[in-house]
Amino acid sequence: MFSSIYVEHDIMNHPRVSEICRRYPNSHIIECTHYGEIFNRRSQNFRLQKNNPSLILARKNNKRVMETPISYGLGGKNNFYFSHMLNCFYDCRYCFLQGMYRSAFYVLFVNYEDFMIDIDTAIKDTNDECYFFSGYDCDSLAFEPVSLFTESFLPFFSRYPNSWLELRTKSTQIRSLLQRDPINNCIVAYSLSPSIIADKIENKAPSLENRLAAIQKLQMLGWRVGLRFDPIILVSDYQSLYAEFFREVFSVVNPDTLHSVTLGEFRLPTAFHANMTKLFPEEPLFGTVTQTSKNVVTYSLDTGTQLMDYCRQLVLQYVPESQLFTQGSA
Amino acid sequence: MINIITALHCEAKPVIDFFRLKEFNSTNGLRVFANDDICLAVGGIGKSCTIASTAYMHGLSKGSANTAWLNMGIAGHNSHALGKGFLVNKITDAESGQNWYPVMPGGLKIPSEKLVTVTKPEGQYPHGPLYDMEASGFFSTAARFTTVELIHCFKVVSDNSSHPANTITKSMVIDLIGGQLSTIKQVIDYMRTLSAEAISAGAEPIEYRMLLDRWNFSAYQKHELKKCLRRIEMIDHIHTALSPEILALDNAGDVIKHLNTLIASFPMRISI
Repeated sequence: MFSSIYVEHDIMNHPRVSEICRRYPNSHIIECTHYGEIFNRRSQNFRLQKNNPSLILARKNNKRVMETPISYGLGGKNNFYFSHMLNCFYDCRYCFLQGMYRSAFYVLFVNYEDFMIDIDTAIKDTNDECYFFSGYDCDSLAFEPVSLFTESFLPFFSRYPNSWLELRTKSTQIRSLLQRDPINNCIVAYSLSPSIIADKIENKAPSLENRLAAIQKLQMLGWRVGLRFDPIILVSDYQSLYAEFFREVFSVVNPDTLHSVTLGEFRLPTAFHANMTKLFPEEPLFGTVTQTSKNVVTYSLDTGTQLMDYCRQLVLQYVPESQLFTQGSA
Repeated sequence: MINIITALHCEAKPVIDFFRLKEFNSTNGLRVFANDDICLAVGGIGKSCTIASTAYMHGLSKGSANTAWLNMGIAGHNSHALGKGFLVNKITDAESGQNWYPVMPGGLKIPSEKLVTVTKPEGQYPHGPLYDMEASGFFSTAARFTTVELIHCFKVVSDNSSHPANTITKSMVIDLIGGQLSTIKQVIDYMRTLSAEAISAGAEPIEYRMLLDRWNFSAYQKHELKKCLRRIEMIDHIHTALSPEILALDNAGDVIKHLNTLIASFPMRISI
């Protein structure tokens, strides 16, 4: 699957590295000093690389657990994110990653134990309920068969019942979850869009139908599920499209094990939007947003307010206000 | 467009003959051969010659950022058989210790190997990499002009510990490179496709040149004009910026104001 796997020199003998390289016997294994030599170098074309991304195996040495932006959360006071992986298997045209990173290669940080130490420290330092979001820079589950991320982190988080782990995903790679007992403090949060939007701009991602089927399976086994309607995209006749979409979703989702629902309109940091427009000058989506504040490009105030108010009213027909959160600027 | 950099004419000859490249624009110490979409330079041995010929070729290709670049030639290795061809997946400059990593193509089943660029011919072949005298100079220079996905090095083993460098002859090099022509063609075809994809993504808006010809735009206004035209193309593929209203305007500033007003009038939503 990967024509090349780059491995940092210092972790060539790491057990996770050995196991992953064993899975890809036909890949060229190329030693590097630091993942940034490849991932952060100038003069890269994200769009060209996305056709055939390589894998980089690395160690994350610092800034493993970070506080989320202020507007990002599920009602908790202490919100953190950690990224065991950079870049996503899917190719959603609205995704900020293509504007943020120079490279489309996947980076997998194999030193999970160091992440756990830092998470433990954050929990002890706050001495209060904490939320840890794992799908900020990647899809939490898409690479699971290789990364074994949940196999490592679910047992870890089961030791901290007062802290939450959110797995943000579009993936149907849920076997590892189906094969174990659910833990009460894990939210499997699915990003969902209407089929017609998903088919057009969520390239390589499972269909809405398949994601809903995965949600059903998880809920049947008792996993707490989250629904992430983010981004909400402004399309012609969005009123009937989103009305039908929410009806479809909530006809499938069991409200008893639904943890939370979030709504967020399409938004990008200004610099990321500029990069994405250069990469995809033909993409109409990027032409529909405008600079609304110093750092953010989104729908104009009136349009955005109308869109979000409408969607919010629709969702409140299905969930109580206490379960609904609006995500702000990226 | 593909620019190919070689050190020696015997390295270039099989490719010149195969693609029917005609000599043109040669200078003292640098011979250049070309057809419609391949330009090949024979620039001499060593990093400084390679840097010079790469920079020269960039000027010849009018500074296009979507040109693909290929360094092609011979290299030594401890044990690989003579005539074996490799795409280079890692270049190390022996002098500075700096590394570069070409982006390996997916779908092409071509062996790859790491390479060290040395300043003098390597006689000992320490185990592991290929050895040459050009790749680091080539890659570091070409990376100033284009993105790394469009830069590759292809090397054919010409000497090893059993057949050292002092046994190499011109006719031998021609035969060794000639033996890898089908692979070289594969690489060139792949790079052509990638370059074409880069060009189409970076293409100027359709009416850009027409508007530039009609009014005098400052550097900043040109940037704004491109942004506006791209936005119009994105949002409304049918609409053209070249309307009677715009053609009646007096100056570049009015043109940009008009285009921004036009953009503001579009319903800002995508049609699915």
